Amino acid sequence: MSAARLLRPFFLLVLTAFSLVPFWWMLIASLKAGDQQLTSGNPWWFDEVYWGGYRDLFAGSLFRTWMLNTVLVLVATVAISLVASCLAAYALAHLGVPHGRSLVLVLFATYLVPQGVLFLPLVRLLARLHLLNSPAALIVTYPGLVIPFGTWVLWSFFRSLPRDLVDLARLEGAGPVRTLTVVLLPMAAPALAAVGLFAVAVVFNDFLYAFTLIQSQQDTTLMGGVGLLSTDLGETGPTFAAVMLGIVPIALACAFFADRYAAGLGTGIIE
Amino acid sequence: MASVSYENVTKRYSGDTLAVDNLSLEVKDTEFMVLVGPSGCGKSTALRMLAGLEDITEGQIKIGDKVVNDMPPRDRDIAMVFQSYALYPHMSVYDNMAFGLKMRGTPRADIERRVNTAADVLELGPLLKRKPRQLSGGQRQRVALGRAIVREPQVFLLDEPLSNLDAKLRVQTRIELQKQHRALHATFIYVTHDQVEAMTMGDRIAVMRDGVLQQVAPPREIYGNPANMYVAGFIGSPTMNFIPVTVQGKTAKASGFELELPHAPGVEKGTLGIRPEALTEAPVAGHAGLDLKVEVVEILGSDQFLYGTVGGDSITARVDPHLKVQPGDRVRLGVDTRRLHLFDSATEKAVL
Repeated sequence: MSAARLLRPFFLLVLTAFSLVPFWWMLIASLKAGDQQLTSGNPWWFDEVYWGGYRDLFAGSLFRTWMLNTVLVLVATVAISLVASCLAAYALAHLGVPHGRSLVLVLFATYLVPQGVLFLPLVRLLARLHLLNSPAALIVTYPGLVIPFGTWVLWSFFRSLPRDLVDLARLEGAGPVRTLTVVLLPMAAPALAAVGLFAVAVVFNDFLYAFTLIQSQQDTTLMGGVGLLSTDLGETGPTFAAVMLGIVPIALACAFFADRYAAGLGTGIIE
Repeated sequence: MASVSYENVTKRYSGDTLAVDNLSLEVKDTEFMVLVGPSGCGKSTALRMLAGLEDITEGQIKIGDKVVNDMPPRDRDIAMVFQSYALYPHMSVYDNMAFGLKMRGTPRADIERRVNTAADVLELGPLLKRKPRQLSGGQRQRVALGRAIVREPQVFLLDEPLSNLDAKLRVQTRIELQKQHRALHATFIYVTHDQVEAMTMGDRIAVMRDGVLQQVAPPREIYGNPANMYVAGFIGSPTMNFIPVTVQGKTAKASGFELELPHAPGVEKGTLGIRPEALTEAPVAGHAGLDLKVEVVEILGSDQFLYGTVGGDSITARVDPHLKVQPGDRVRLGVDTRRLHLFDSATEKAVL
C-alpha cells in the first residue's frame, strides 16, 4: 500500500513526460531553420531560436484565412451539435417518444459503422447539394459525428435528474420549450461542456474530411491547410509552426474543461 | 375550495400492468385524505392521475364538479409537493417559490407579496436568497410546501413529503402539516406508505393494495374495524396476531387454545385476529386464556412487548412494562373478547 503510494507520483511523472514528448519535439522543430529540422543536430534542443517558420507561415500561406475558416466551422459545429443534441435528448428522455431508449442505442451504434463506408455516399450527397469546396461541407458533416454522442450524453443526464423536476414544471404550466430552457439547461452545464469539448475535438482531430471535401486553398480549414503546406512549400518549418498554433486552442479547451468533461461523461455512467 | 372524486378510475400501462383498478373515492371539501399502502399499490399513480401527470385509462376524475380527465395540469387548480421536493438547484428559494406564479404570468408585485407572506408563515424569510443546497432537509421540505402554498390552490397533493426527513423532524413536520391544513382550509390528499403518518394525520384513510381500494374510513374505524385481513395487518404496530382456527358454533379452536366468540360468525374455517393490546397479563373471567411461551422481550419504556408461541402459533402481546418477564418464561394471557376479529379463510373478509 505505502509502496504504491510512494511510486504513484513517479509513475504519473513518467506518464506526463511520455505524453509531452511529441509536443516538445514539435516545438523544437518549429523553432529550427529549415535545413536542420529533421536531418541534423540534437532533435530535443535548438542551437538558436529561429522564427523563420512562423514568419513564412504568415507571409507565404493562407494561414489567417484557414484560421478564420476553422473558427467558423468550429462555432457552427458546436452550435448546431448542442442545439440538435439538446432537443433530441430532451424529447427522447421526457416527451414520451415511443421506444426512446432503443432509438438512443441505435443512434449511438452509428459509431460502429466505419467512416470509410459512409465516405463516398457523403461526397456524392455534398456534390449534389453543391456544398463541396466550401466550409459548409464541413459544417454539415461534423455535427453528424457529434450529435449521436451528444444526444446520448444529454439523454443520460436528463434521465439522471429526478423526474419530479420535469413533472413539477409541467404542473406549473411550463411548456416543453420553457421546461428545457428554464429548468433543464441551467442544470446541464457539465453535460453541455462535455458535448462541446467533444465537438471541438472532432473538428480539430479531423484531417480526412477537411482535406478531401475541400480542395480549394482559400476555403479549407487549418487541418486541411496543414496538409497542403507539407506538399506545397517543400519546407517543413511552416508546417510545424502551423501545427503548433493549431494545437493551442484545443490544448486550452482541454486544460479548462477537462474536469467538466469528465463530470459530464460521469452523468452518463450513472445510467 | 373543492371536493375531489374518483369515479371507477382505472389505470392500465402498456401491456397488461394494472396500476389502479376501478377506484371510486370521494374526498370531501377541506378533508385531509390519506392514501396508504405499500410501494406499487397504486396510490402514487392515483395521485398523479389527479394531478394530470398520468392519463386516465378508464373512468373519470372530478375536481369540484368539473371533469378534469382532459384538462391540462396547470388548469386543474392543484399544487403538488413531491417526495424529492423537486427544488430547482440553480434557483434561489425565492425563485423556486415564485416559479409557478411566474409561469402563469402573475404580476410581479403579486408574486412578491404572496411569496413573502408564505415565507413568513413557514419562517423562511431569512432564507429567501439561498440556494436549495445551502438548506437543511427540513428547510427544503418547507420550501416545497411554501411553493405549493403561494399558488393558493383548491387541492394540495402531497406525495410522501416526509419520507426524506429523519425520524424526529418527521414528527414535528407531521404536526406542522396538520396546522397548515387547518389554516389553509384546503383539501389535502396525502400519499404515504407509513401507517403511522396515515393514522396521525388523516381525517380519513384509504388503504390500497395492488391497485384495489381496500377500505376508506376514519383512523379509529380503520384500526378498530378493519374490513379485511390485509387492512388489519397493514395498520397497527406491532402487527395484529393472525391465528388459523376452526369454528364450531361460537367456539373458535386454535392449535393451543380455545375461545368463545361473542356470536356465531357462520364460517367453519377462519383466521382469528387479535391486536397485541387485546391480550392482557391479567386473566379475564370466563375463559381459560392463552399459555404464552415467551421467546423475546422488548421493553420500550411506555410499553413492553412479549413475542412467543401458543401451541403452534406465533403471538405478540403488549403488557405492562413493570411486569418482569424473561425469555423462556410462561405467561398466562387473558383475551379481551370484545376486540376479537375473525376473517373468512376463503375471502379474507372480516366476519366478526
